[in-house]
Amino acid sequence: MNEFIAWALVAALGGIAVWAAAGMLVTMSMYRAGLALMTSFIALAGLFVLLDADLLAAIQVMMNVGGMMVMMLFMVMFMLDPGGEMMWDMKRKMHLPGPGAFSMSMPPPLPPDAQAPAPRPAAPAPAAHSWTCPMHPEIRRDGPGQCPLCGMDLVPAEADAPPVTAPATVAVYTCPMHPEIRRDQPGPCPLCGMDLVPAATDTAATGTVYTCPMHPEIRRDGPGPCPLCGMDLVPAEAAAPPATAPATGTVYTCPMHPEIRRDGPGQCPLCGMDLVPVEVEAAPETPPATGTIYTCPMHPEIRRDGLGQCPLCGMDLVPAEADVPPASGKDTGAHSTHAMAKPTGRTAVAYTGHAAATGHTGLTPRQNYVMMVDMAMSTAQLPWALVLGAASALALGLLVWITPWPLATIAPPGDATSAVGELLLSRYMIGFEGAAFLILAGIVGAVIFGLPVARPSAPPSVAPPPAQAVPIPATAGAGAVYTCPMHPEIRRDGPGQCPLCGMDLVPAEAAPAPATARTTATVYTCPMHPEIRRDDPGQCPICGMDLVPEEATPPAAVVADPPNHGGHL
Amino acid sequence: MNNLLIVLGVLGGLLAGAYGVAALQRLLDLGPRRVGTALVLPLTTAFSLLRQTDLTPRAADGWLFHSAPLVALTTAALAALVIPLGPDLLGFDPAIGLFYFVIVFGPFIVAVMNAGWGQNSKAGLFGTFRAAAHLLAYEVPFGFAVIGPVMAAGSLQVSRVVVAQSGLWYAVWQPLGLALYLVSALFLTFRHPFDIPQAGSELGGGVLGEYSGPRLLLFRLALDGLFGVVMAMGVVLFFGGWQGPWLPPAVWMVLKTGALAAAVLWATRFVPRLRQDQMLSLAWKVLLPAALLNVALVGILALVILGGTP
Repeated sequence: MNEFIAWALVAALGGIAVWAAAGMLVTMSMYRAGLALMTSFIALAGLFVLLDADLLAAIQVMMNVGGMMVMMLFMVMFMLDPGGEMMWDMKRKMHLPGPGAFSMSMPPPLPPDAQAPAPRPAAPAPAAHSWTCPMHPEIRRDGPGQCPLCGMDLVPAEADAPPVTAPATVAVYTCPMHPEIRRDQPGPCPLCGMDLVPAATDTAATGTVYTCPMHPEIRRDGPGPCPLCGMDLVPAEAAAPPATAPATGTVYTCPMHPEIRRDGPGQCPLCGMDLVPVEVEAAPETPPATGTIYTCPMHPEIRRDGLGQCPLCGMDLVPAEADVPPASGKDTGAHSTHAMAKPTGRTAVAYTGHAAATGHTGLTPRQNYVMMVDMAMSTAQLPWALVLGAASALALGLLVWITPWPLATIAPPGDATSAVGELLLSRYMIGFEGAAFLILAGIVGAVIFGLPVARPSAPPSVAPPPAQAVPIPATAGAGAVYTCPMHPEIRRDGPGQCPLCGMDLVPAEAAPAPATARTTATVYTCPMHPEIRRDDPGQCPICGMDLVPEEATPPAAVVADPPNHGGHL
Repeated sequence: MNNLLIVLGVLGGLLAGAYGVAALQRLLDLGPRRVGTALVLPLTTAFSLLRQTDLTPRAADGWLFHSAPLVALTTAALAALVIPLGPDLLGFDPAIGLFYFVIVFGPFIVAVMNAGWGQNSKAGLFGTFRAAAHLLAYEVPFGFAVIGPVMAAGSLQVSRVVVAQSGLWYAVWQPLGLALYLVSALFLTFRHPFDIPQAGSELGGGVLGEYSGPRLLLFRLALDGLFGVVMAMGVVLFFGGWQGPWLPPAVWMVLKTGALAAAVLWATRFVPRLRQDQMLSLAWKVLLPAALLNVALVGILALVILGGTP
């Protein structure tokens, strides 16, 4: 009986050691990887105790667990930057030619041939935005390039969501367990891995949509609790027609967060203040035409009609000059700031504050946030660890194979455990310690390979954005105006340095918006904060004062601004 | 059956030690001292924590967050296993008992780090870093402080270290080692001058900031119990363990442990909390050279006092 217990313990400890070591290779969190290794070593120490080698067990725990803790600390300190540069840094690392080739794409995988995410209610321009990312179908560009989110090469999107006919015919696949997951192709659920099944009723076709009174981006085709706040969903038929409702109804907004727009009274999801009604002056497709759209250099899906900071990474928003839709209703689905239209499916985006959070993965903001937190704790170097781990296993196998193994030939004596312990002491420690050494070398290699080539000392808010994220016209003519990539209100007629951040000025030829659109618009500004410019009346998001109308500055005057007259755009 | 008794005895001893340390802490608090209040307050705190809601922060790493108090308490119990209350009252007396005692604190720091990391908050993360720095800072001086009695006794076995002090306590001729041990013990158990990973007002509780209810109770039990265990081991290493006239060995052990804990808790009242850099400077610039010096001194004194034959 005692022998049985001893063998059961050996099997259990050995299983734990192997299971934990395997867990090191599959976890994405470096912290958990370190813990898994520690567990593995402690289980090995337990094996040593069972083999009457308790001193070895103690040394094993002291050396390897302590060393692993130090290693974990260094890994976390190297790779994780609690100051906030980390996410940005990870994205940049994915562009590196060496480790970047092995870097993981973090968001849940979609079917690689997913092309058109979901039908868009307003007619998009089929010719434009015909390149998309295989992983982020909401990324649409006019030409080839790299995805600003994951760095993958963009691929041509052949069928760009036939605008009118698709909603009735397209099949929507959903997860039996996570109805908020909606794909237009079968595949595994990104949350639980179950196979997606065809959704019985497409909400776009049947029309009865249930939404949360507090979270209008939650849209279900049946009643139930809101996955964000748990409130009962209510039928929201009125909000479903995309283009007409916002134009006719009263829109409620938050006095402090004008980007929050609801079609009913309620409370601001950001600060909890009561929403106040505002008159909707323009149809959803017009705001892009009347004002400058500001976007994040790293997150082009973030679109605001005023200066501010990206809700995802905190960078200052810059005018989206090149890819602003000129005047038509292009991109009203996911990209327009004030669109209340929320088509079901992956691009279900109501207000831009959550556009990035819901848009590019099809997850709810909550799930997206969890994913971001998970990313913040992960190394994105799993393939390196796998390669080095496989090499370690190979080397260990060779070691065991080359080393003679007398257990196979000798007859077990009466005190078998002592004999095994002595054998371990004499020879097989090479194997165990060799394995530990190789694993450590693998981790060190992963950390070293994972370090960026040149780590900037500047925080992301002042660091230069990647070139492909903010297309700046390079065709600066004779009367070229130079601007700061980070502070577009700085305009000079010659190269130099930004007086605000010291960056080199770059040529900025074109005004952000077409001239015809801006000359006719009434711009509302704050008496105290002239940089606040809205195309609706409302209150200043900084001081809360009522915005007052102001004569629109013709963009031509801005472009031809004399030197040192940097006007606010 | 015997093993079950040992486990129950160790857990009971740990609980009693935790209660004793908490009561001592109350008793030594500034302000009006009421013995009755100090004795009752730990119990009422424990009951109130038991009734408190056990909250888990949003987006916490649940696995780490929930397991950390259990790991901490388990580690404290494993450390308590080698504390002898008497020549026969010893749960586990391996030949490498003191070595075991030193290394078993590694997982304790891991538990504290997990607690800070798993709660997914900035304060907890900083607490995690500080706890890891603690580990690096205390481990070497702690090990060197233990080496002194080991050198004098010529054994790593706990019971032999106690028996070797029948003539003269090691505290008498190894005062530097005792001071090193006590300071390192404060490091190890996150006690007042070195409690910056918890750092009440600065980090909002630090690694324990998001804990509530029974899990917080478990963590406090582990921390207080571990302090009692470390003080008991200090008695074993430097004050002759269970040895003493007239009274039973266990009573001597408890009395000595209580006296040492009270003295340490009382003395630390007069020291302000050290910043992280001060703590690390103390550990690396003062404690480590002092520990090396202590080893050399103990070697010389062992030759002089014991004639080279422990």
